[in-house]
Amino acid sequence: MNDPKVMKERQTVFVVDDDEAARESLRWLLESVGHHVNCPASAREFLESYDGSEPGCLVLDVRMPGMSGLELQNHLIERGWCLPVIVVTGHGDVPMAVRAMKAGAIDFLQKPYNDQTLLDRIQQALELCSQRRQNRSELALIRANHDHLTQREREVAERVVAGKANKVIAIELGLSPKTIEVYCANVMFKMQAHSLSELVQMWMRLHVEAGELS
Amino acid sequence: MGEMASGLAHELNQPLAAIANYSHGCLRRIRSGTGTVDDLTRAIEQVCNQADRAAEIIRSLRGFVNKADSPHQPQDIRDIVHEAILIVGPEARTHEVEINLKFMPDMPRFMGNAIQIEQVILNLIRNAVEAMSNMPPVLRRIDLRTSIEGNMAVVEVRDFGPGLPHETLARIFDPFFTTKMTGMGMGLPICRSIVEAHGGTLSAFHNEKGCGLTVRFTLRRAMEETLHE
Repeated sequence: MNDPKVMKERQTVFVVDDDEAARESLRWLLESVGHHVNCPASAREFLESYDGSEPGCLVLDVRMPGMSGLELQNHLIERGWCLPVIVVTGHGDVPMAVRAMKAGAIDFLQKPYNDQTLLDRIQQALELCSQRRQNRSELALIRANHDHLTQREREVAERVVAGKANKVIAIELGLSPKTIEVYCANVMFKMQAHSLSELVQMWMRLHVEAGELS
Repeated sequence: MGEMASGLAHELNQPLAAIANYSHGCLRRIRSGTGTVDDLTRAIEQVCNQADRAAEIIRSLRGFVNKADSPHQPQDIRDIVHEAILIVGPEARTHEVEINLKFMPDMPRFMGNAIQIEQVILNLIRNAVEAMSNMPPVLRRIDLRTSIEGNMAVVEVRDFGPGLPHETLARIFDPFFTTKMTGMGMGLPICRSIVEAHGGTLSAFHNEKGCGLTVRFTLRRAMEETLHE
């Protein structure tokens, strides 16, 4: 699983660094283990070429003229892109590290770094990216299924998820228990849930959606 | 010194990191049998380039590194200025810059290392010459003056160029800060550390009248030398 070539979807390691030697040497190292690498020379150049759809991770030098690494991180967050960021710096600067981590970086490496450490972190970042994307597509499916429920079905589903018995729901909604059973079956079918606990999980994921990336 | 060291560490880190990346990339390719001779050669050439880049940074520090070596002796500032003018004079003439020397009469000697103080003067004159490259030739002039202030000998190098924005002026002594296309940003920091090692100070300010910048440094007088040369 540690070989990036085994991954289903091709992932790209983006290296953003204003120092040509730094980024081209990193390309050479990363390509030696089979990574696909893209090296924009500035944060702006990266933003101009990236549309958020390509999976991978971002290796970012925080100290750059023009748009800083930190600003670029904020742009990623604003656009809702889930590309994991590894921040690299030549400057042993603790406040900088704290700001980078707060802005969502998954790691902070100081130059000179051990090559194996960097490769391991990149591997972790790529796996995290796959997970985030899988989460996103599952969530999108749940949301789409949820959107197909009728008003009545939603009312029933909410009560079922809250742990209420069919008889109680029937009384609350002024329907017969038999009808509630039919609604329940429809909900389970439309949501593609195979059990009540699965339905409960889906409901919870819909509600924690905001914290999805954390 | 701490600031110097951190600037130096950052500057050396870049080529070092590149060398490490290229080397590890080569090793991994050689071990897995995936590198072609052409590819590997290209990468090793880059290793050499980056080693040269690091060596260049070290070279630029030579004046700084050597400064503690030689003992300080009584020196005549006039001799040192004349030595410096011999070296930088042709350059100044090429750029059509006139250099005016105004020595205070009976200037006492100062304690120091002649070669290092000559480096400082050379550096200041070269900066002044470059600062005026966009001025009309008739206005290109450098005034170099010596004077006494208490126990200190004072040397001032004044140019008549456009001067510098305030935020730039505040940073010209920061290591690796430069306004020049090809500069290393080490000239003035090295000058300052040499002058400070001599017990003096180096400062820069805009001229009160007219345009341009004055860079001024002080040196400790040789106290036993009260007579003129």
